[in-house]
Amino acid sequence: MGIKKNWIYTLDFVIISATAIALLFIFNNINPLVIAPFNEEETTTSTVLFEFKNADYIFIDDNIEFTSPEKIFVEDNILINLKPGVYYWKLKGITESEIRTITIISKVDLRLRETNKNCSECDSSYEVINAGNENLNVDVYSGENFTGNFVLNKNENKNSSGTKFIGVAE
Amino acid sequence: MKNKLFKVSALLFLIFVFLLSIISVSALGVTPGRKIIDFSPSGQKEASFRIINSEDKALNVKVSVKGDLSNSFSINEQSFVIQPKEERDVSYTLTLPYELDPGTHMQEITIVEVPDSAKDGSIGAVVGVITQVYVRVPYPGKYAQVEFNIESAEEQQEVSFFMPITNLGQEELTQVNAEIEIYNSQGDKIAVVSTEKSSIKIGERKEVVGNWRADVTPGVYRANALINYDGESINAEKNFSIGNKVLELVDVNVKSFTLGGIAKFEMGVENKWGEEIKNVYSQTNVFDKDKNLIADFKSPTYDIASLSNQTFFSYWDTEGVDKGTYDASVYLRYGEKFSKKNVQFRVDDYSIQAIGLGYVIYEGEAGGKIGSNTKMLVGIIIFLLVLNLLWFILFRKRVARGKKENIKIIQNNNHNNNKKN
Repeated sequence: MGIKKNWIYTLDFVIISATAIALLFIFNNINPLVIAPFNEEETTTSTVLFEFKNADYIFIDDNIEFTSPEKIFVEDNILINLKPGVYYWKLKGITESEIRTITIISKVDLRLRETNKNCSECDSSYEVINAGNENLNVDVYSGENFTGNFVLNKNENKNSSGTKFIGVAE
Repeated sequence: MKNKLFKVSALLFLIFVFLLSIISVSALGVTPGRKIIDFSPSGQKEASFRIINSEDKALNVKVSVKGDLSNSFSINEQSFVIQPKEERDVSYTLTLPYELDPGTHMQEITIVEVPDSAKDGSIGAVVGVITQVYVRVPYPGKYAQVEFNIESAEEQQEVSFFMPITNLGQEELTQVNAEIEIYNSQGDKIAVVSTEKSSIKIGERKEVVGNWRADVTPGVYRANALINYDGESINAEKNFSIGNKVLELVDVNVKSFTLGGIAKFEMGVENKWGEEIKNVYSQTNVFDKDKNLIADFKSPTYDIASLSNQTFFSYWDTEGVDKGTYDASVYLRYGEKFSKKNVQFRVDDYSIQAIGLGYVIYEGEAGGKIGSNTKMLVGIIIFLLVLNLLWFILFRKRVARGKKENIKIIQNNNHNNNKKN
């Protein structure tokens, strides 16, 4: 046989190195890498940024068995709107990631802005803004008298007259 | 002269301060918006809520409780000043009675701004928020609260029937299952779906799920679910659709834009389907004249109610972008499908205008993507396996055998040489 010893050792080295590099590549690309949100994160922000690598789907459910998951096809990081509650979520690419939980804490946040500030003879009118993460029922009072109510969806604003505005989750 | 100027300046300053006080904003927040407490006879429950003053002014606030258990609340602070941008935790103790009627007892803790008497007449209105406390009292014996949700599908796909069941009784539910009958628009029963049996502990919420492959023509169907639990049953009924989900980008608006800044895109999206479509988001790709991708921005996900419009918000940082007309593709992604609308963005110093072009719906992208990744990795693994097997088992053996033969030949030669000598 005309094969030299050195040549054989070189081939051994090339094959073992190539195999090691390929296995490292496979290992890095086969498992979804979960970056954010952290496990057991609690927030009042309902728009959550999901950061990850090597995944094609996010599964989100309100139970750990994932019996009725929201299956969202994703290419890369994504902002997902979630209603207040506890959610279990995982990523799926070629394999599945660990299961993490996130809690969206409900927040009632009502803001007032006077709209007819330049009109001294007009009734006080206000822009009522829902800055929380729940749809609200807003009760309107004039003095101590209840004058009516309206529904204010999340991020919605409405003009209304009154002296007291009280918001409660729908 | 200087004195007069000073007086005028002072007056202008006072007017400015007065105007600021008039246009000032009131804001009050509370979290959580709702808390559920499970009843226990004569139990004491401790909890808290957080009051948030997100404005730049201090607020006088008053805390009060409304509801049939209002006298059972003991709140540690009922009247205080909350400083600008302050978040304050307020704790309370709820002492429960020995007995309470079954069901949910709703209490409301109201946090309301108290008008500042010194400013009365200038601001006029006050703001208040409510955090709800639900006291849940179990029903005697076995009691289940059932919801019935259906996730509609397209033709030849799976329709999912979800029945979240909460055990609100005093006993465990040991045998819970459901039978769902499906009827077409003529009222004919076309399928029956049965779910698996499961058990639900006291106070626990569990989902019972049934799936049905929709091998039927598009249209409206009716599902009639009979949920059985330990000899009791509850009936629930709902309509659902089989058909094509259609989303359409209706308009694109950019308001208050300055070139070089961040453009806020408001995209109107219409759901033309008879059901809500969940987790839809937009993705916008902007290209330069050489078809190079110069921007890729997405909106958060939105749920769009049936036959209604939803505005999607997304943001494009236009730093380094020149005036001109750019080709763009707006994708509306939902499930494994997406619809694509090709548009052009005319970018000026203070405006971005969208000019509409074509409209196409695509599907099955996700499956293809996963398939190609898997194929590539499986290919690499097989190649490595074959290469290693060939080298170490076959080729290396042959080389080793060759070596042995060489050694034998050398040994024979040496032996012959020794004989000759």
